Amino acid sequence: MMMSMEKRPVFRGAKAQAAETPSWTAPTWQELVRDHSAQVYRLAYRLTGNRPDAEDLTQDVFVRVFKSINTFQPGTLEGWLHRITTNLFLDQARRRQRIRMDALSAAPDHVWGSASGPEELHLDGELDADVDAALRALSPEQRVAVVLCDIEGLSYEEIAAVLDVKLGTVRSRIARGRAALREALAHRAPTGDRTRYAGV
Amino acid sequence: MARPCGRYRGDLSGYVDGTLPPKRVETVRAHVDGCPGCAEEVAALAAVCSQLSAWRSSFAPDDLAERLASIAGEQADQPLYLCSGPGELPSTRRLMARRAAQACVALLGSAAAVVIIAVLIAPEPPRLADPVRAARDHYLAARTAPQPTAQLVTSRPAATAADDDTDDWCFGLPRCPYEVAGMPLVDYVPTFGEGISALNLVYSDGVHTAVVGWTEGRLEDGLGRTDETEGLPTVAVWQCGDAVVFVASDGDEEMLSRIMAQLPDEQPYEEDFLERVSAGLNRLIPVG
Repeated sequence: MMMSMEKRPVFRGAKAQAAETPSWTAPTWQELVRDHSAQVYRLAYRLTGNRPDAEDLTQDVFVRVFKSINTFQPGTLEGWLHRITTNLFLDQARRRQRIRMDALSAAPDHVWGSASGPEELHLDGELDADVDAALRALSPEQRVAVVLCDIEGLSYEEIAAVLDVKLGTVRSRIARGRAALREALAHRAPTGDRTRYAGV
Repeated sequence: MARPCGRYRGDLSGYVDGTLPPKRVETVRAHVDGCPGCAEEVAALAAVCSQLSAWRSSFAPDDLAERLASIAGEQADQPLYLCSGPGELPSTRRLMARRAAQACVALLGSAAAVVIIAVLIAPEPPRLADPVRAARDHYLAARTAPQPTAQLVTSRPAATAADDDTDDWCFGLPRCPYEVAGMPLVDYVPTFGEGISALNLVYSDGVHTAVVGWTEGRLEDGLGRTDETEGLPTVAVWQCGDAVVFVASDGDEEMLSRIMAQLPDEQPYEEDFLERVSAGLNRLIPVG
């Protein structure tokens, strides 16, 4: 007799089964990693500014996702991943800031270690050292808002949902972050040929 | 002319990425078009945005996905506990705001319930069903009762009496005259009952007697009246705010008019909502 070799969802309960639509199938962990790891890594990289920290942060994000997958509520998986990534980044950034304040040591100006030397910047191909340095000089909150908006391409509403803050707070953080970047990059002439935004 | 750039600086970022409301866009555009400094700022911000947006592509290390997949171990190829369908990310901020709003609504509801209960249980003002008869009863009581307090007035210094300085004992009426229609005050009878206060003033010149009364409460029909029944004291009674004032006299109509001229005019009974709530609350939660 042929035994059914159907895979049974080990994490799934009756509640989830009742909630799902007939045409929808929950992804496997492998599929989730395949579909979202690059995106999470990219965000982690833009936030931390270097590969080792980005890899660590990505690893932490997926460990957290795996541990709390049973608490996932219906919503955008991307938004959830964004939220976990940014929350972990902000938690670690604040922790490092506290440690630096407590130690009163001559720590570097940015809160994350900069392992992005010239070779690494070269390897990435598109990474601009000036912009990267200016980005890392922002406060973690501003950096998160700017990265989510200008690099990840999220709308203000999406960022507000990811960070669980008011829309005005998002607008303010982005405006201040951009102004700081613009000031830090004042020595560089505007490159009009790459302009892509409406209104200019 | 100095340009108010400071009013627009905060909007330039939103202007660059097109997230300003349409009306504000027009305003900011009008300013930027005429302000070289802000136009330069806009161009610089646009350049920053452009540079950042060009960073979207990046490559994760080859072995990263494999390492991440290994987190689940043997369960990596099994369906996850995930609910399907669109939805919003859970928001602690919204949840707290919702709870705060619910708490406010509950608080307001409770307060409204307390107010309603207070209004319902507030003591009703006493209603005088037959004030004319009551006035005559007071008159008869004044005529038949001994008047020890006649000394009260006669023993007062003349100057004090002339000054109408009655603040220390007069209540209810705006003033308690020492003399009405040529008759001196010979007695006063304050009454403090349960939820009701009253004051009767007895005037007499030895020939005629008049009683002026003030009683907390309201006339049953709210209408003032004069009763000149033959053989009985003439009575005038009227509503004066939250009390009823009466005059009962054995004099003629002219005397009654002269006495009434020294007393407050008729005023309709007006229930004060706050006072009613306060009285109800006092009954609900007795203080003192």
